[in-house]
Amino acid sequence: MTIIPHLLLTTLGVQILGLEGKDIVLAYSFGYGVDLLDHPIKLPLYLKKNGRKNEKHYHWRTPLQEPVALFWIVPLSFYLGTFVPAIFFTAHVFLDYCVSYEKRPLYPFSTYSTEGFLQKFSDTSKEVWVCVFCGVMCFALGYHQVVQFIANIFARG
Amino acid sequence: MNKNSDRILSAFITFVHERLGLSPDQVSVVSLVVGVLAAFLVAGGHLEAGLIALALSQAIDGIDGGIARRYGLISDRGKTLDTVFDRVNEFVIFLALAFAGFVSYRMAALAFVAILLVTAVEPLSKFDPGFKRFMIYFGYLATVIFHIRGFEIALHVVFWANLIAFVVGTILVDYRLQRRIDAQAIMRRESERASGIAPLPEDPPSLLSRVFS
Repeated sequence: MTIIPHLLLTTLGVQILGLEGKDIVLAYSFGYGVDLLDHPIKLPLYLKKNGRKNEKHYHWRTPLQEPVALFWIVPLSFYLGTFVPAIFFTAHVFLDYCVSYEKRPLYPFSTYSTEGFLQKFSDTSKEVWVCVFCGVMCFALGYHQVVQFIANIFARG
Repeated sequence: MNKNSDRILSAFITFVHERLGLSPDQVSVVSLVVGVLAAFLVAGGHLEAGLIALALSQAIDGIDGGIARRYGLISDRGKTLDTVFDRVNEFVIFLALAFAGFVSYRMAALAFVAILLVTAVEPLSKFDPGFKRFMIYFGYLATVIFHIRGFEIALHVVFWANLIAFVVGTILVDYRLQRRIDAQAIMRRESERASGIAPLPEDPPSLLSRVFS
Protein backbone atom coordinates (compact mmCIF):
# COMPACT_ATOMS: atom_id res chain seq x y z
CA MET A 1 0.00 0.00 0.00
CA THR A 2 1.00 3.62 -0.26
CA ILE A 3 2.24 6.00 2.42
CA ILE A 4 -1.06 7.22 3.86
CA PRO A 5 -2.65 3.89 4.94
CA HIS A 6 0.62 2.75 6.55
CA LEU A 7 0.99 6.02 8.43
CA LEU A 8 -2.65 6.00 9.57
CA LEU A 9 -2.57 2.37 10.71
CA THR A 10 0.71 2.93 12.58
CA THR A 11 -0.70 6.05 14.23
CA LEU A 12 -3.83 4.15 15.18
CA GLY A 13 -1.72 1.34 16.67
CA VAL A 14 0.35 3.84 18.66
CA GLN A 15 -2.85 5.39 20.02
CA ILE A 16 -4.54 2.08 20.86
CA LEU A 17 -1.48 0.66 22.62
CA GLY A 18 -0.75 3.97 24.35
CA LEU A 19 2.92 3.85 23.36
CA GLU A 20 5.46 6.33 24.63
CA GLY A 21 9.12 7.25 24.12
CA LYS A 22 11.30 4.79 22.21
CA ASP A 23 8.31 2.52 21.54
CA ILE A 24 6.82 5.22 19.30
CA VAL A 25 10.09 5.41 17.35
CA LEU A 26 10.12 1.61 16.98
CA ALA A 27 6.44 1.59 15.94
CA TYR A 28 6.96 4.11 13.14
CA SER A 29 10.27 2.50 12.10
CA PHE A 30 8.75 -0.96 11.67
CA GLY A 31 5.21 0.13 10.77
CA TYR A 32 6.30 2.59 8.14
CA GLY A 33 10.05 3.36 8.03
CA VAL A 34 10.85 -0.07 6.63
CA ASP A 35 9.26 1.11 3.36
CA LEU A 36 11.62 4.08 3.11
CA LEU A 37 14.62 1.81 3.57
CA ASP A 38 13.36 -0.99 1.35
CA HIS A 39 12.36 0.63 -1.93
CA PRO A 40 15.58 2.61 -2.61
CA ILE A 41 17.51 -0.67 -2.60
CA LYS A 42 16.00 -1.68 -5.93
CA LEU A 43 16.05 1.82 -7.40
CA PRO A 44 19.30 1.23 -9.38
CA LEU A 45 17.78 -1.92 -10.93
CA TYR A 46 14.56 -0.12 -11.79
CA LEU A 47 16.41 2.77 -13.43
CA LYS A 48 18.58 0.35 -15.40
CA LYS A 49 15.51 -1.47 -16.71
CA ASN A 50 13.04 1.37 -17.24
CA GLY A 51 14.91 4.64 -17.03
CA ARG A 52 12.28 7.22 -16.11
CA LYS A 53 9.42 5.26 -17.63
CA ASN A 54 6.68 4.11 -15.27
CA GLU A 55 6.25 0.36 -14.67
CA LYS A 56 3.36 -0.07 -12.29
CA HIS A 57 3.96 -3.64 -11.17
CA TYR A 58 7.75 -3.56 -10.85
CA HIS A 59 8.95 -5.75 -7.97
CA TRP A 60 10.23 -3.07 -5.61
CA ARG A 61 10.09 -5.23 -2.53
CA THR A 62 13.04 -6.93 -0.87
CA PRO A 63 12.93 -9.47 1.99
CA LEU A 64 13.19 -6.47 4.30
CA GLN A 65 9.40 -6.10 4.20
CA GLU A 66 8.30 -9.66 3.58
CA PRO A 67 7.13 -12.08 6.30
CA VAL A 68 10.57 -13.73 6.11
CA ALA A 69 11.88 -10.64 7.94
CA LEU A 70 10.09 -11.86 11.07
CA PHE A 71 12.98 -14.34 11.38
CA TRP A 72 15.15 -11.42 12.46
CA ILE A 73 12.52 -9.03 13.81
CA VAL A 74 11.24 -11.49 16.44
CA PRO A 75 14.75 -12.10 17.91
CA LEU A 76 15.32 -8.34 17.74
CA SER A 77 12.08 -7.81 19.68
CA PHE A 78 13.30 -10.24 22.36
CA TYR A 79 16.62 -8.40 22.43
CA LEU A 80 14.95 -5.01 22.85
CA GLY A 81 12.50 -6.41 25.38
CA THR A 82 9.45 -5.13 23.52
CA PHE A 83 7.23 -6.71 20.88
CA VAL A 84 6.42 -3.37 19.27
CA PRO A 85 8.69 -4.06 16.22
CA ALA A 86 7.08 -7.45 15.53
CA ILE A 87 3.51 -6.15 16.01
CA PHE A 88 3.89 -3.08 13.80
CA PHE A 89 5.87 -4.92 11.15
CA THR A 90 3.11 -7.56 10.98
CA ALA A 91 0.55 -4.78 10.55
CA HIS A 92 2.68 -3.31 7.75
CA VAL A 93 2.93 -6.65 5.97
CA PHE A 94 -0.82 -7.22 6.40
CA LEU A 95 -1.61 -3.99 4.56
CA ASP A 96 0.90 -4.78 1.80
CA TYR A 97 -0.66 -8.19 1.29
CA CYS A 98 -4.06 -6.58 0.77
CA VAL A 99 -2.90 -5.05 -2.53
CA SER A 100 -2.24 -6.99 -5.68
CA TYR A 101 1.49 -6.57 -6.33
CA GLU A 102 3.65 -9.68 -6.55
CA LYS A 103 5.20 -10.74 -3.23
CA ARG A 104 7.71 -13.43 -2.34
CA PRO A 105 6.85 -14.03 1.31
CA LEU A 106 9.60 -16.51 2.16
CA TYR A 107 12.30 -15.68 -0.37
CA PRO A 108 15.19 -16.64 -0.35
CA PHE A 109 14.09 -19.83 1.44
CA SER A 110 11.17 -20.46 -0.91
CA THR A 111 10.40 -19.18 -4.40
CA TYR A 112 6.65 -19.20 -3.68
CA SER A 113 5.07 -15.97 -4.85
CA THR A 114 1.59 -14.56 -4.32
CA GLU A 115 -0.50 -11.51 -5.05
CA GLY A 116 -1.94 -11.48 -1.55
CA PHE A 117 -5.56 -11.71 -0.48
CA LEU A 118 -8.85 -9.85 -1.11
CA GLN A 119 -8.08 -9.86 -4.84
CA LYS A 120 -11.78 -9.47 -5.73
CA PHE A 121 -11.61 -5.81 -4.73
CA SER A 122 -9.61 -3.09 -6.42
CA ASP A 123 -6.43 -1.82 -4.76
CA THR A 124 -7.76 1.73 -4.73
CA SER A 125 -10.98 0.76 -2.94
CA LYS A 126 -9.01 -1.19 -0.32
CA GLU A 127 -6.70 1.77 0.27
CA VAL A 128 -9.68 4.13 0.59
CA TRP A 129 -11.43 1.82 3.07
CA VAL A 130 -8.28 1.43 5.19
CA CYS A 131 -7.72 5.20 5.15
CA VAL A 132 -11.32 5.94 6.11
CA PHE A 133 -11.40 3.33 8.89
CA CYS A 134 -8.01 4.29 10.37
CA GLY A 135 -8.64 8.01 9.92
CA VAL A 136 -12.00 7.86 11.71
CA MET A 137 -10.57 5.69 14.50
CA CYS A 138 -7.55 7.97 14.94
CA PHE A 139 -9.82 10.98 15.12
CA ALA A 140 -12.19 9.26 17.56
CA LEU A 141 -9.37 8.16 19.85
CA GLY A 142 -7.60 11.50 19.59
CA TYR A 143 -10.83 13.39 20.18
CA HIS A 144 -11.48 11.31 23.29
CA GLN A 145 -7.98 12.11 24.62
CA VAL A 146 -8.41 15.83 23.95
CA VAL A 147 -11.77 15.86 25.71
CA GLN A 148 -10.28 13.97 28.66
CA PHE A 149 -7.34 16.40 28.80
CA ILE A 150 -9.69 19.42 28.87
CA ALA A 151 -11.89 17.72 31.45
CA ASN A 152 -8.84 17.12 33.67
CA ILE A 153 -7.90 20.81 33.45
CA PHE A 154 -11.40 21.84 34.53
CA ALA A 155 -11.42 19.20 37.27
CA ARG A 156 -8.17 20.64 38.69
CA GLY A 157 -9.55 24.15 38.44
CA MET B 1 41.47 -17.40 4.30
CA ASN B 2 41.26 -21.16 3.81
CA LYS B 3 44.46 -21.24 1.77
CA ASN B 4 46.23 -19.16 4.41
CA SER B 5 45.11 -21.43 7.23
CA ASP B 6 46.06 -24.49 5.15
CA ARG B 7 49.57 -23.08 4.72
CA ILE B 8 49.91 -22.36 8.46
CA LEU B 9 48.56 -25.79 9.41
CA SER B 10 50.32 -27.62 6.57
CA ALA B 11 52.53 -29.80 8.79
CA PHE B 12 49.56 -30.76 11.01
CA ILE B 13 47.42 -31.59 7.99
CA THR B 14 50.09 -33.96 6.68
CA PHE B 15 50.65 -35.50 10.10
CA VAL B 16 46.98 -36.02 10.94
CA HIS B 17 46.01 -37.52 7.59
CA GLU B 18 49.14 -39.42 6.51
CA ARG B 19 50.58 -40.51 9.86
CA LEU B 20 47.46 -40.84 12.00
CA GLY B 21 45.26 -41.87 9.05
CA LEU B 22 42.32 -39.72 10.09
CA SER B 23 39.69 -38.67 7.53
CA PRO B 24 38.22 -35.11 7.52
CA ASP B 25 35.00 -36.38 9.16
CA GLN B 26 36.94 -38.09 11.92
CA VAL B 27 38.90 -34.88 12.53
CA SER B 28 35.57 -32.99 12.72
CA VAL B 29 34.42 -35.42 15.43
CA VAL B 30 37.66 -34.86 17.38
CA SER B 31 37.11 -31.09 17.08
CA LEU B 32 33.57 -31.50 18.43
CA VAL B 33 34.73 -33.61 21.36
CA VAL B 34 37.44 -31.10 22.30
CA GLY B 35 34.91 -28.25 21.95
CA VAL B 36 32.46 -30.01 24.29
CA LEU B 37 35.33 -30.63 26.72
CA ALA B 38 36.10 -26.87 26.57
CA ALA B 39 32.47 -26.14 27.45
CA PHE B 40 32.60 -28.51 30.45
CA LEU B 41 35.80 -26.82 31.64
CA VAL B 42 34.25 -23.33 31.36
CA ALA B 43 31.05 -24.47 33.08
CA GLY B 44 33.15 -26.03 35.85
CA GLY B 45 34.90 -22.73 36.54
CA HIS B 46 38.18 -23.52 34.75
CA LEU B 47 37.87 -20.58 32.37
CA GLU B 48 41.46 -20.35 31.09
CA ALA B 49 41.75 -24.11 30.55
CA GLY B 50 38.40 -24.05 28.79
CA LEU B 51 39.46 -21.28 26.44
CA ILE B 52 42.70 -23.10 25.60
CA ALA B 53 40.65 -26.22 24.81
CA LEU B 54 38.31 -24.06 22.71
CA ALA B 55 41.27 -22.66 20.74
CA LEU B 56 42.55 -26.21 20.23
CA SER B 57 39.09 -27.27 19.02
CA GLN B 58 39.07 -24.41 16.49
CA ALA B 59 42.57 -25.29 15.28
CA ILE B 60 41.50 -28.91 14.75
CA ASP B 61 38.40 -27.58 13.01
CA GLY B 62 40.72 -25.85 10.55
CA ILE B 63 42.58 -29.08 9.85
CA ASP B 64 39.57 -31.10 8.62
CA GLY B 65 38.88 -28.65 5.81
CA GLY B 66 42.59 -28.53 4.97
CA ILE B 67 42.75 -32.32 4.64
CA ALA B 68 39.62 -32.34 2.48
CA ARG B 69 41.02 -29.67 0.16
CA ARG B 70 44.53 -31.04 -0.14
CA TYR B 71 43.58 -34.69 -0.65
CA GLY B 72 40.47 -34.11 -2.77
CA LEU B 73 38.08 -35.39 -0.10
CA ILE B 74 35.61 -32.51 -0.23
CA SER B 75 32.01 -33.71 0.02
CA ASP B 76 28.62 -32.14 0.76
CA ARG B 77 28.19 -34.54 3.67
CA GLY B 78 31.52 -33.42 5.12
CA LYS B 79 30.58 -29.75 4.79
CA THR B 80 27.20 -30.35 6.45
CA LEU B 81 28.83 -32.34 9.26
CA ASP B 82 31.39 -29.57 9.79
CA THR B 83 28.66 -26.91 9.95
CA VAL B 84 26.49 -28.95 12.35
CA PHE B 85 29.45 -29.64 14.65
CA ASP B 86 30.44 -25.95 14.59
CA ARG B 87 26.94 -24.99 15.67
CA VAL B 88 26.92 -27.63 18.42
CA ASN B 89 30.29 -26.32 19.63
CA GLU B 90 28.95 -22.75 19.72
CA PHE B 91 25.79 -23.85 21.49
CA VAL B 92 27.63 -25.70 24.25
CA ILE B 93 30.23 -22.98 24.82
CA PHE B 94 27.54 -20.26 25.00
CA LEU B 95 25.55 -22.48 27.37
CA ALA B 96 28.67 -23.03 29.48
CA LEU B 97 29.33 -19.28 29.67
CA ALA B 98 25.74 -18.75 30.80
CA PHE B 99 25.93 -21.62 33.32
CA ALA B 100 29.15 -20.15 34.77
CA GLY B 101 27.45 -16.75 35.10
CA PHE B 102 29.59 -14.88 32.56
CA VAL B 103 26.60 -14.11 30.32
CA SER B 104 22.82 -14.21 30.69
CA TYR B 105 20.95 -17.22 29.28
CA ARG B 106 18.84 -14.78 27.25
CA MET B 107 21.89 -13.26 25.54
CA ALA B 108 23.43 -16.70 24.91
CA ALA B 109 20.18 -17.88 23.29
CA LEU B 110 19.81 -14.73 21.16
CA ALA B 111 23.43 -14.88 19.94
CA PHE B 112 22.97 -18.53 19.00
CA VAL B 113 19.69 -17.85 17.17
CA ALA B 114 21.40 -15.08 15.17
CA ILE B 115 24.20 -17.51 14.21
CA LEU B 116 21.58 -20.07 13.11
CA LEU B 117 19.95 -17.43 10.88
CA VAL B 118 23.24 -16.69 9.13
CA THR B 119 23.89 -20.43 8.77
CA ALA B 120 20.53 -20.76 7.00
CA VAL B 121 21.11 -17.99 4.48
CA GLU B 122 24.90 -18.21 3.98
CA PRO B 123 24.82 -21.03 1.38
CA LEU B 124 22.65 -18.73 -0.78
CA SER B 125 24.21 -15.34 -0.05
CA LYS B 126 27.85 -16.47 0.39
CA PHE B 127 28.06 -13.81 3.08
CA ASP B 128 29.16 -14.64 6.60
CA PRO B 129 30.88 -12.09 8.88
CA GLY B 130 32.51 -14.86 10.91
CA PHE B 131 31.72 -13.30 14.30
CA LYS B 132 31.14 -16.46 16.28
CA ARG B 133 33.29 -18.41 18.77
CA PHE B 134 36.26 -16.19 17.95
CA MET B 135 34.61 -13.26 19.76
CA ILE B 136 34.80 -15.18 23.04
CA TYR B 137 38.55 -14.51 23.24
CA PHE B 138 37.90 -10.77 22.92
CA GLY B 139 35.33 -11.16 25.68
CA TYR B 140 37.95 -12.77 27.87
CA LEU B 141 40.50 -10.01 27.14
CA ALA B 142 37.91 -7.31 27.90
CA THR B 143 37.02 -9.05 31.17
CA VAL B 144 40.65 -9.38 32.27
CA ILE B 145 41.92 -5.97 31.12
CA PHE B 146 38.94 -3.69 31.78
CA HIS B 147 37.17 -5.72 34.50
CA ILE B 148 33.83 -5.52 32.69
CA ARG B 149 31.36 -8.20 31.60
CA GLY B 150 33.38 -8.82 28.45
CA PHE B 151 31.70 -12.09 27.50
CA GLU B 152 28.28 -10.43 27.63
CA ILE B 153 29.56 -7.64 25.34
CA ALA B 154 31.10 -10.25 23.03
CA LEU B 155 27.73 -11.99 22.68
CA HIS B 156 26.02 -8.67 21.98
CA VAL B 157 28.52 -8.20 19.12
CA VAL B 158 27.88 -11.76 17.92
CA PHE B 159 24.12 -11.13 17.99
CA TRP B 160 24.25 -7.84 16.08
CA ALA B 161 26.87 -8.93 13.56
CA ASN B 162 24.96 -12.09 12.68
CA LEU B 163 21.53 -10.46 12.68
CA ILE B 164 22.76 -7.76 10.28
CA ALA B 165 24.51 -10.41 8.18
CA PHE B 166 21.22 -12.31 7.89
CA VAL B 167 19.36 -9.18 6.77
CA VAL B 168 22.08 -8.24 4.28
CA GLY B 169 22.27 -11.86 3.08
CA THR B 170 18.54 -12.09 2.30
CA ILE B 171 18.64 -8.72 0.50
CA LEU B 172 21.70 -9.79 -1.54
CA VAL B 173 20.02 -12.99 -2.72
CA ASP B 174 16.85 -11.13 -3.65
CA TYR B 175 18.82 -8.38 -5.42
CA ARG B 176 20.68 -10.95 -7.53
CA LEU B 177 17.40 -12.64 -8.47
CA GLN B 178 15.84 -9.32 -9.48
CA ARG B 179 18.92 -8.46 -11.55
CA ARG B 180 18.57 -11.76 -13.45
CA ILE B 181 14.82 -11.22 -13.99
CA ASP B 182 15.41 -7.66 -15.23
CA ALA B 183 18.25 -8.77 -17.52
CA GLN B 184 15.93 -11.34 -19.14
CA ALA B 185 13.19 -8.70 -19.55
CA ILE B 186 15.65 -6.27 -21.15
CA MET B 187 16.92 -8.98 -23.54
CA ARG B 188 13.34 -9.91 -24.48
CA ARG B 189 12.50 -6.25 -25.10
CA GLU B 190 15.62 -5.79 -27.24
CA SER B 191 14.88 -8.89 -29.34
CA GLU B 192 11.24 -7.78 -29.82
CA ARG B 193 12.46 -4.35 -30.91
CA ALA B 194 14.91 -5.99 -33.36
CA SER B 195 12.03 -8.09 -34.76
CA GLY B 196 9.97 -4.95 -35.35
CA ILE B 197 7.38 -5.71 -32.66
CA ALA B 198 5.96 -2.51 -31.19
CA PRO B 199 6.90 -1.96 -27.52
CA LEU B 200 4.17 -2.19 -24.87
CA PRO B 201 2.68 1.19 -23.91
CA GLU B 202 4.07 2.76 -20.75
CA ASP B 203 1.99 2.36 -17.57
CA PRO B 204 0.14 5.52 -16.55
CA PRO B 205 1.97 7.50 -13.86
CA SER B 206 1.03 6.72 -10.28
CA LEU B 207 -0.56 9.30 -8.00
CA LEU B 208 2.72 9.81 -6.15
CA SER B 209 4.78 10.32 -9.28
CA ARG B 210 2.17 12.83 -10.47
CA VAL B 211 2.40 14.65 -7.15
CA PHE B 212 6.20 14.74 -7.04
CA SER B 213 6.92 15.34 -10.72
